[in-house]
Amino acid sequence: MTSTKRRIETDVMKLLMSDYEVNLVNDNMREFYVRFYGPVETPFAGGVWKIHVELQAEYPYKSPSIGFMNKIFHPNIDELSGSVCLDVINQTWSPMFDMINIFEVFLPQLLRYPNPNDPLNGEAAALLMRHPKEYEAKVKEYVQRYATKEAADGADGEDEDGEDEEISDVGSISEDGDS
Amino acid sequence: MSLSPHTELSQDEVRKCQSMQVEEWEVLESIYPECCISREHDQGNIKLEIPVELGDELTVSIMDDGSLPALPSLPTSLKSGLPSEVIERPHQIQEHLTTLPPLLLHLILSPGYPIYAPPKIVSFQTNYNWLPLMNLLQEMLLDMWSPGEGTLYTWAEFIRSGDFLQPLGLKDNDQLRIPHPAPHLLRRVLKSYDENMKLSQFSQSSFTCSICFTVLKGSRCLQLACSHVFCRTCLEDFWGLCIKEGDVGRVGCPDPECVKEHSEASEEDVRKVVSEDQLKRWKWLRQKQTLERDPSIIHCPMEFCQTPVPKPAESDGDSGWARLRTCPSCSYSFCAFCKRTWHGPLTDCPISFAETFLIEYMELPVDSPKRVNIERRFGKTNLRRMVAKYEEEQMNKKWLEDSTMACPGCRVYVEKSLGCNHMTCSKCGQHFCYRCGAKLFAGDPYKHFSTPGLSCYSKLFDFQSADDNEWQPVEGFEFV
Repeated sequence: MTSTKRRIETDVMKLLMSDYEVNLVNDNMREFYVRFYGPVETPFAGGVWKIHVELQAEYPYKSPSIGFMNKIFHPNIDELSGSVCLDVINQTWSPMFDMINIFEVFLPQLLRYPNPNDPLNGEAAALLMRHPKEYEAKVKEYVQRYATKEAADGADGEDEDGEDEEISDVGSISEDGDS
Repeated sequence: MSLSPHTELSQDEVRKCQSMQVEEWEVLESIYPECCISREHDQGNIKLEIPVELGDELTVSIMDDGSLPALPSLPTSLKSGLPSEVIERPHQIQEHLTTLPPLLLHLILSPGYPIYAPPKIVSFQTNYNWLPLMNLLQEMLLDMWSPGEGTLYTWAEFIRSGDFLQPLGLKDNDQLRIPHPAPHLLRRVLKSYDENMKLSQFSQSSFTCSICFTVLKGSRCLQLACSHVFCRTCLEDFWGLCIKEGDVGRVGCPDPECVKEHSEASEEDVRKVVSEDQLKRWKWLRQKQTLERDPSIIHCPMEFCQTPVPKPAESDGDSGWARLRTCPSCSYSFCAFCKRTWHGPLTDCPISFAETFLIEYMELPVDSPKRVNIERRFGKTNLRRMVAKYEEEQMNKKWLEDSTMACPGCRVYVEKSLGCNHMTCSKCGQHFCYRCGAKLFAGDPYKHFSTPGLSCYSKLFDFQSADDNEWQPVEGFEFV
């Protein structure tokens, strides 16, 4: 058994034995979904997200692919695809990190301390920088609409509401108005 | 309680001493198996090889004891082959060591040892003769024996721990001073021994690889410069993947802290882990990366070559020679600015190149990285001079376009101060029209101005106001 295969099994077993709810896709340890709860004392608190994890053949030398299945409003998460822009998952990934690190450290840190200077969601980044209160309100609105337990269970990458909702334009944010 | 040399021991006493000797040897062998070389029961012969462990890294100063005469002044031809430290004979060389070569102790345990007599030291020496004052140490060891007590363990511990160095006056304040006739030679030996000891200790220890979580012997692991240890298999997989994908920046310690600091592996470590082909590719990629970071490097313009050509170290940034580059691979000499065959330090680059290049440079914001790179590559003074020259040329060009006309025969610019538009070039004799630059027939140059339908019809003279021409009439001259 190669070290990669052994590591995948070890890390997934560790995740399965933890408090996280993990669903393997076709009993395959390379692809699974994890239920992730928004960290407390953040606007994301109370939210439930279904996170799709795919481990490449080169794991742990290559970082896992992480995606939010139900919508989230965050500067570093693409609203449509759910892709995550996180340097520890991309540039500074180390083979010593494991799945537990991602769900216990990296993702909570990302939600706690967004980086609006390197955005995947321009609207969220602009709102956070110019009108933090409005940003917080919008995050909470998304949590209530898209991050419920039911929404997470039903999430499959499609628009949950079934609405053809247009993504609001960054330019629509009013310049004046205190926040 | 010690006996005089002539006192005979009873059978019981001998038996008791012998059993104590066996017991002591067994204890010593179990504690320091690597120190116990041999024991001959019948003759009481014992050989011990005790390495000196200094604990944490200690500064060791090897000093010239002056016992060797100074080298005569050597001819230059001989000097070239010798290392500098041999020629210069430094008075003191420092090295950081954790272990010193072992002391070799050959003993005979007399029948009365340990109750009635001390061990007899047959020989006492060190590997590479690094330790002075051996006689003094021998006396110290013998003084440590007291009747009825085994002393082998005490001796072994006294030597192994390096505690003997202080009473010999060789160690004080975490610094060890060793006098020696040839410090440079001893230093090499001590350093080599220390490294080998570290390596053998590492090989025998067990480590848990933080990537695959396997517990392995050190011989199957690698300790990187940052002191993190990983198994060779994991490093081979990780570094191999990075090299294959061209991500050489990640060929380094996989520890998160080191990854954050972008600490790259040394060539020595990479060589220990990856294959020869991968090593070759890694070196090539690193060189490529270095070249791409250096804006002063230009690739040879020869299509078949493309070798990176660095800026000459001694190039004078203010002279035209600063533009000269010679390819180390194909020896092609070219201009760094226009990348054409070297046209000398005084001749300007072909204007088409210079113009586009300078326009691009001048349009860049003052502190933009691209502008700074260009300045680093070609030299700020050079560029300033080129810009000034270009601006002057542009002004000249504008003036020439506005105020002169080029002779269609030889391209010499002609300025008309007054008179008609029929011009005759003083250089080539060509007749031409000053208004439109057309060549005129020498036999009838005025036909151009008298043919209806032509652009210069009836324009032999251009009438301009005096103000326009900045010309004032001569005194006494009147317009009719």
